[in-house]
Amino acid sequence: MKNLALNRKFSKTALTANTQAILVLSVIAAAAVFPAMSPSRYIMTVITMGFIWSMATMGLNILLGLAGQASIAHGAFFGIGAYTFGILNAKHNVNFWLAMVIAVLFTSLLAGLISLPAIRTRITYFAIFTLCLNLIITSLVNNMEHITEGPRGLIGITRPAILASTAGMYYFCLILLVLVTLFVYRLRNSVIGLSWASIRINETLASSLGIKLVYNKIVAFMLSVAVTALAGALYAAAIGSLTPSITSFTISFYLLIYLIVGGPGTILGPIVGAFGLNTLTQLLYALEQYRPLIYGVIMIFCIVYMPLGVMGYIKARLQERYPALRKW
Amino acid sequence: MTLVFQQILNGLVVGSIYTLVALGMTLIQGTIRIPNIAHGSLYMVAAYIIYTLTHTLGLSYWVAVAVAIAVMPVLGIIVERIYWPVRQKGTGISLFVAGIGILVLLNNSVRLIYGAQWKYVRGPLTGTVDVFGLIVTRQRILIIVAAIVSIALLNLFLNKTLIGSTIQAVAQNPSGASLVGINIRTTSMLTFGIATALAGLAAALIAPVFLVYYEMGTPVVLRAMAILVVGGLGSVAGAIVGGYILGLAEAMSVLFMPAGYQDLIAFGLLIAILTFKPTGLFGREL
Repeated sequence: MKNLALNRKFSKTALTANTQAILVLSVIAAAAVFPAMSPSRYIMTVITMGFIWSMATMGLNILLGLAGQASIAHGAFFGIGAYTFGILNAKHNVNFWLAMVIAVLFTSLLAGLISLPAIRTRITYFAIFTLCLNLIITSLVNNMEHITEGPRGLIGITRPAILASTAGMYYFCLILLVLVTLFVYRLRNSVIGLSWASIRINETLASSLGIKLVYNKIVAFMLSVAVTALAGALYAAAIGSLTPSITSFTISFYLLIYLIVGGPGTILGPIVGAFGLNTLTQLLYALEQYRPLIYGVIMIFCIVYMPLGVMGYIKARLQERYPALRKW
Repeated sequence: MTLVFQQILNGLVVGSIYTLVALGMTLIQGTIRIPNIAHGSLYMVAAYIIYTLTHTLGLSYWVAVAVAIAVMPVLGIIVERIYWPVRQKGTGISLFVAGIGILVLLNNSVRLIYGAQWKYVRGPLTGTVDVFGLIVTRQRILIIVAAIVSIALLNLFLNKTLIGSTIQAVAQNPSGASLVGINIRTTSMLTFGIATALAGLAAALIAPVFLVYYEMGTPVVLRAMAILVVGGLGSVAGAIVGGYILGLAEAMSVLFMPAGYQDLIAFGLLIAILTFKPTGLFGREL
């Protein structure tokens, strides 16, 4: 009798683990066949932007969700990725793919340099430090007109023939988002991901166990910024023009809101947050005007009643019912 | 030379506003440990209250100021009620994140109601005064005097009254304070009330000088954050000194720096300090 109960419990767990895989795969499949339904270009663009914002949020998830450091400079890094790519592409005619790689490498190296003083600060000081950093970067982008064209805006960013169509860009962003998500999933369960988890939970204890705080935090910062910068470069490619407002701290706030609402530290949280807040409110035309207001309300609701975010909440409920579910 | 004195005066005006806002934040931070990043948005709401009362309803400026200072504590206590459950769960960064949520909510509510245009508030004090060859508008004199008077009153309140000393007791040791019968929650609401009243006063004073705009609070609150870190979190004296120094530094910088970079002084200074002293100048944990 006991055995039977155990058996049933086991099969239930296996079922939910499979269900999850099937659910995720079917969402990806649905996203892949979606353009075949010949939706309007507007909807395609909005969903492509959803992929890009999901990826940017995924970058922040590496730092805040996995390593526990709340950066409010990710809007600036998103913008630096976008601007580096845009300047190379539009002003220096560098090859599209090469420019994208350079943008990601340059931004994450810059983040590595910045992280040296930044990671010395903790918790709220880290947030204030990165927020000020963001303001300085926005001001520099605004004022260095000979490089960034300043408030006039950078225009004329082109895409290669294969990505020229809306569908081409859609698939490119989708593939990259799936790859980045897989990467974050692997990262979370790797040795370094587990060291970050220990830093997130208790920094002092982690360092007493021999986990190198400085090294781990710098790597987390750089990887996190690399992903966000990639999203920024994709944004530049998708929109074709840039203004300094793309580096503003408002973007950092939005990324933070997407992540907190979606669920920091979960794999699918950033995607749920970005799509649920950005794409959904953009598709419902009537809500367009109220978007930031809705963000604020949902954010406050989540931080008060659902501190783990939507996906964190679902995950906790599932783990309550199926204790064997720990890896998701 | 006149230009230098003129800029010193402008620095004192701006510094007064920074000080009033930073004082409120330092009270909240020092007493109940909430880094209230939404404080600038409360300041902005107060400016819009002034605008509505004087422009739309046609009331006198002085009535509007009194109403704004009386209404702001109510708003402050509402904000406190949002923060409190988050504070009870006590996960370091979530208070800051909750503050960002309140900031986004307040700013965008005001933008939806009033639109994204700059609004003009007509002050009662027009005309200028000649002070030792300097041309000063009367409103600016009012700002400097009112700020100094209210700072002095706040200090008297904190140091000489019973309620003021309960606030100080909670700031020094919350559990000790509750042991001797001080209600922490009441003190928390009281602190928020005083802090938002100060922000309301700052907004009321500055509204006729600068234009009213729904994002006007963000630059001020960020500078106040910088003042808090530099002057010591929870330190009243630090906020006063820091506020005036920052105001003066920004005004003087116009003399030798390109105007576009003026914004960077506060944030550059803060980054520099945190780089060498990661827990702020006075080393108190947030």
